[in-house]
Amino acid sequence: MSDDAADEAGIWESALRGDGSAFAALFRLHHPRVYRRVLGIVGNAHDAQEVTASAFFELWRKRRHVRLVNDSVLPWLIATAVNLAQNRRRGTARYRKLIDGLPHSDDLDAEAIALSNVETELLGVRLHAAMRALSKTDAAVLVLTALDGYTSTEAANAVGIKPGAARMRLHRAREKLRAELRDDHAPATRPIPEGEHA
Amino acid sequence: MSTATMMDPVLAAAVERELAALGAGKSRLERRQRRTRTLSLLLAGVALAGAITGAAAVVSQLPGTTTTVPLSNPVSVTHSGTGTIDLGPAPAHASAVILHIQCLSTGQIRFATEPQGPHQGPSELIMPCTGTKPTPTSSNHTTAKDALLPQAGSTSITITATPGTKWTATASYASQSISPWKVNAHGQSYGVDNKYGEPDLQAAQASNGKLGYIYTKDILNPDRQPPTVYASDGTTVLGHLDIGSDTPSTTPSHGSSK
Repeated sequence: MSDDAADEAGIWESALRGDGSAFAALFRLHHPRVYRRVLGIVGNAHDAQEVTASAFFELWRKRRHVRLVNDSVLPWLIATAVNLAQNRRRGTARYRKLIDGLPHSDDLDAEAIALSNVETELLGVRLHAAMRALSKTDAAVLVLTALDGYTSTEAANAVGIKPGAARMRLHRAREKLRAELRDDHAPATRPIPEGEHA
Repeated sequence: MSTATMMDPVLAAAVERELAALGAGKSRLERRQRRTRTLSLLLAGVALAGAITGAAAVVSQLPGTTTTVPLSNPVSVTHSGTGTIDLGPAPAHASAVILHIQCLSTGQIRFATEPQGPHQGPSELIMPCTGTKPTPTSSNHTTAKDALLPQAGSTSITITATPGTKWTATASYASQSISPWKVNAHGQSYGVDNKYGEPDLQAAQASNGKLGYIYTKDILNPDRQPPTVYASDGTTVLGHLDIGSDTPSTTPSHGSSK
């Protein structure tokens, strides 16, 4: 872990100097996890792909303002992806044309998309609808702490707020989600599975 | 794990190629940013034109304008590695620090700034140093009008630098004021962007010289070209923006999959 962190800090140093291969390396390292997290929120493969790609393009565009947590850009990427997912129509508009112009698998067919939607539902992560009640920052803090195993202080660092404010937002987000999900049936009452931990 | 929970491998490879092309002058992301910069320069040009033609009052009164005024004499410091700049007691109404910083060696410098968007906490500006002269990837100097004030109980700001990074900086307290955006009859906000975000319509000058507004969504989607410049009502057409010939390619420049 510490070696990985040291490696990533080194890659980030190169990225800050404008090295494209460093951004590509960070994409290889983190995109599977970012994608799975986004899929759980937006609930369909097409939107999740657009949000995931946009989060990495934002990593480049906002590189001078990216906050590392434990020498990793992953928390910033997740927080940014959650922000983009929460306001997808406008959030990813900047890159939509570019992403639409990139090659896609011809056979990312309806069956695969439907399967992913079912899996998302089965994961019990009906955050898709419930999270609409949350602000972008509240949603990012909630995802980082509840699903990705970061402490509230680390989540605060990733989204650029004070730890006390993060704890307050977390409390508020949980209360709102609880209210949103209270009357729903089976899947909502299941505990949300932990994300894979690095 | 099912492939349905993995990103489309063809698209993932294409995104990776797009990122890898950064820094080599071949990336569509960079080309896009150059266009946005062109637009920013044009907007800055609106302000300059106003100042030259005596319409400065009109331009500085554009809704949403951030006005930063120095409140104290500048303090200059030259240092190696992390260091502080003691600005003395803050004047009343100080809300930010104007900071000019110049690299004197290679390394990296960072300092705290005001939030970069609505509902965000303080941000941080990171500046890679490649020496004393500008290079394609680093200008080696920067001026921030929104550096963060000293923490409560302190009169100093901290410049964090990697060990051995030499830098020189000039800083002074400043007051920042932001005028509110205006709202037209259609409920659309108009003015210039600021730390609270972007209004629906942003000030711009048409190629015929008329001052007006373009839709923010036309900046985000610059393929609908050239953007139309409207009056503040968002419907009366005044002209079009001339943003040069650097149009983004609509032909994907990808090769075959790796």
